[in-house]
Amino acid sequence: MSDERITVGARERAALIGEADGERRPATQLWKRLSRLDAWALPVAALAVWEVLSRLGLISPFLMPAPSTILGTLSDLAASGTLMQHLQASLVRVTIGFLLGTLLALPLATLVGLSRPVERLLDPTIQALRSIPSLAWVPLLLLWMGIDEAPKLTLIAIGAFFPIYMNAVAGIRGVDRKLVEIGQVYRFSPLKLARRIIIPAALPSLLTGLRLGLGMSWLYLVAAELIAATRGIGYMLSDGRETSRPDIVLGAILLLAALGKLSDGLLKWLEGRLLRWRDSFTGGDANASD
Amino acid sequence: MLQIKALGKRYGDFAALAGVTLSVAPGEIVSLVGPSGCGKSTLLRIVAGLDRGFTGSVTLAGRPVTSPSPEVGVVFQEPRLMPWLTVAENIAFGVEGLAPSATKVADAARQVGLGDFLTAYPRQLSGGMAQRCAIARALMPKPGILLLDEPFSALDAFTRMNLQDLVLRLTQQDGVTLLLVTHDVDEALYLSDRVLVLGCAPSQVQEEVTVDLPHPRDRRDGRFAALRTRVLTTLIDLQTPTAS
Ligand SMILES: Nc1ncnc2c1ncn2[C@@H]1O[C@H](COP(=O)(O)OP(=O)(O)OP(=O)(O)O)[C@@H](O)[C@H]1O
Ligand SMILES: [Mg+2]
Repeated sequence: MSDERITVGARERAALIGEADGERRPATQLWKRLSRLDAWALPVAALAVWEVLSRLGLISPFLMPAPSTILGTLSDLAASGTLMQHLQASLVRVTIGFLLGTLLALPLATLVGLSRPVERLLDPTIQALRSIPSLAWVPLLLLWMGIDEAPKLTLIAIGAFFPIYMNAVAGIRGVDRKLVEIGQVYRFSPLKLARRIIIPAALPSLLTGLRLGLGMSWLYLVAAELIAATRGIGYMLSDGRETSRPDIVLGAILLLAALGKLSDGLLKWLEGRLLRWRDSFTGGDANASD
Repeated sequence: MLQIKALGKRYGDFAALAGVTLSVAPGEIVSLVGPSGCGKSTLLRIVAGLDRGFTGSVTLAGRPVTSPSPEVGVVFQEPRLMPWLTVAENIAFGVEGLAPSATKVADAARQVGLGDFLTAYPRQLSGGMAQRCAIARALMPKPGILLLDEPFSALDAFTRMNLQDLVLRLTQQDGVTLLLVTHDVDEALYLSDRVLVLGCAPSQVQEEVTVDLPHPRDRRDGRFAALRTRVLTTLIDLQTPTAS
């Protein structure tokens, strides 16, 4: 307990500086880099087995073409430029739909979370709307908005809205009252209280909501594009089925997996940046340091 | 400095405080001890302006207390630092509107031994360091009175003694009044000019022990023994009826 002296112990300081710089011995660093590849082991192995089984003729190419065939189909589509069009259409839809859902959910959640009267006014209705399976909106959206972009964006926004809203409200309501009291001691206005204490403290839950909401956006994108679209990855799926091209269907599925993972990775990176201060369980890895 | 008259506070049917009267002179150090659940924290929260809906009167420097005031600093049992802010940002947290200069904040950090930790986050601090940071934050607005609710109770004996001396050093130079709630009778006697023993049901001041020893004091001073006996006797007497 010598480092509790008012003059700071050297050990304390070294520990702190070491952590701040993330200094590691080279061997540990190499091990860390290698262990980052472990996420690839399973998918790569699965693809390899699949390829071998296809080449040996153990899997019917009409049901499950080999990964190399799918890759060939995708690169053909890419060469003709259609793949880019599909990708672009889907990416634009997900981005706009997700942003719409976020822009609606975050302010609403903030108001509901911060104010009991607003909660009594809005939350029961929002919960009732939430209990409607979002796909049930499809016919109505098509009737109202035609089969243009509008109903697709709306459906994606609806899908993204609820997880973002729910997690943000739960995050705000989960803020430690003891921290809020510090704001009261310093006579913060309600706005400052929200800005300086409640929102930052609710940030972890808020970001979880965003990640779930983005996942939902991809889900509803596919639903929307399966129902009515002439472009997009969902369209590739239905087009592949109608023309009996399992290679196109599987190619679209692989694209969805890659895009979903990439976009989630982006948010996860943002989460890591914004929540560096967090002091919580990071998983049972003896070498783990965030 | 602080005048409390016939202070009462009810939670539903339960009287947490029933007619407490006490006063604290400017620059005085007063400790409140008493059995658990007798309303010591409640009293402190009322003085801090955090709890309303009480009966009786509480005045600070002649003005009735209705809401938190920059004249009053508070240190809780837990450090209550904002985990997303650095040590420097936490220390400046209560005076942000006044835009304190970086050197002022660094000075405050140095005074509590955190000069090398300005950019550290609370998770990188030990319990004692975190509490030191909380003390620096509370003193930043230069309060006339500092309220401390069991501020050192989560710390080990050595850290506790260090922090007791630290608080004395930081507040005595500016003549800050201290009102301290503690369960540690030795801590109360070492720090205070007066120790008040708060009783339960009804919650009232049962005993007042004046510690007429000059600062700096020696913890081993034999004159503490008699005073400790007086405080403990009252505390034990208070415990007995509730235990049966
Ligand atoms: N918000 C509240 N609602 C209802 N009852 C409360 C509330 N806060 C405190 N009480 C009650 O008031 C009484 C006094 O509580 P208080 O926290 O002031 O005690 P204390 O003297 O600080 O105890 P301790 O020494 O254990 O900290 C307790 O019996 C408690 O049950
Ligand atoms: Mg208490």
